[in-house]
Amino acid sequence: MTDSVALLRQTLPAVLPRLRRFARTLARNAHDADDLAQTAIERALLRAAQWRAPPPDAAGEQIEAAVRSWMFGIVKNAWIDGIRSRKRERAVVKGDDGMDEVADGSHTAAEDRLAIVAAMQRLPEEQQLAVSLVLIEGLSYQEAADVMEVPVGTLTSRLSRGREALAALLGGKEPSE
Amino acid sequence: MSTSSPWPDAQLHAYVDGVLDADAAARLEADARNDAALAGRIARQRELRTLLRAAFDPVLDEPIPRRLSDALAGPAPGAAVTPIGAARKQHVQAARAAWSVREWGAIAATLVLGALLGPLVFRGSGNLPIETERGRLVAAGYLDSALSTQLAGATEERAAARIGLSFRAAGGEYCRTFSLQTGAGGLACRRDGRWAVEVLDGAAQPAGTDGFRQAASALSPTMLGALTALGAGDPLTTDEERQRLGAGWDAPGR
Repeated sequence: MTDSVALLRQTLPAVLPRLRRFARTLARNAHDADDLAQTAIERALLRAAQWRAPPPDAAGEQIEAAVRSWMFGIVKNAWIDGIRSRKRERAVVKGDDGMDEVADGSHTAAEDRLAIVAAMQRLPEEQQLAVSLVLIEGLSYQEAADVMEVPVGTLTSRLSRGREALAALLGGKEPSE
Repeated sequence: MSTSSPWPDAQLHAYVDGVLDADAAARLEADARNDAALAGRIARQRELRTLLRAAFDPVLDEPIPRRLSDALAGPAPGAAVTPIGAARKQHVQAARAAWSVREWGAIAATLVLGALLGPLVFRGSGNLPIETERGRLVAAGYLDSALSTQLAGATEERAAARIGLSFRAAGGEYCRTFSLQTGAGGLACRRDGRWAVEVLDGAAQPAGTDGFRQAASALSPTMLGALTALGAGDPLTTDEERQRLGAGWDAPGR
């Protein structure tokens, strides 16, 4: 085992809670999210040798950020891999996915939470990823663009559209209909 | 979107994300002091961020599920790689082997092993919905998820578990009845951060056409007995359930 693989294994546990949160923002429910996280961990360990460790003088924080970005990319790819079947599912549940919670005027924290989770599921995948990486995970535009493997300009426009769509959904309005 | 302000959304977004350059940020802040509509747009963007974080941050504090820490431990370096499907099977077999006679004995009265867990284990659609933890049976996988996140009576097309009703026991803890797609039903109470499975009841009621037991009205004598023994109060209303979905199911003060 090379040093970088050892470093990766050593850092992964610290990254796991955020990995789960990221997966939760993408998947439809907690169980699917942990499936996604598990798949990502298994893939990461299989490909650990491909991970490019930061320079030896890197601070712990930098190492963690590097592992995190790499893992986010693997989660993203695992999620995209399953996207076709999820789209079919989404079509089936459309119109019955909890969005009636959104516009009834009364808001408890729990209802806000359900509404947000449901609204995230309604975004196109690329907007969902952009919103999740920047607004929830707090990645910089550049980091998020790297995870998504797109230019920064593409990331910011997806992020912008995602914000507008979320605002419309949470305001009880259907976007452009 | 407001068009009265010269500030396009892109710049507001950059400001809220902390990447607008300092000069522009200062001008934006000055304008917002004199422009309520602009200030409102900024506030809404901030609120969106706050709502998103509030919705997903609780995940960070959840205990890491066993299967994820197991996955982290991973295959030993250089060891033969086990594909995910086979790893799950091994996990299931290990879990079955680990169930002690005492644990089985504790629930034997209401448990029909072959009928219940055989189909559950070998359906291949996921993990074992029940596992042992320190000598007790607790919900895991999709059952744990359903107990924590589903409203009673919700009938999601592909759900593998459904919740019948929720109530507080005399001891203050929250309990929920559930049914599984296999036709089995049961009762779990929230104790020490897990859903402890109190009753697993396989044979009492025929499954509906979709495999599920017919709703909460079809409570078996075993289940009714357990409800009585627990000192079940009135079922929670939907609003009370929503509160629990948000705030968690642990009894207050524990």
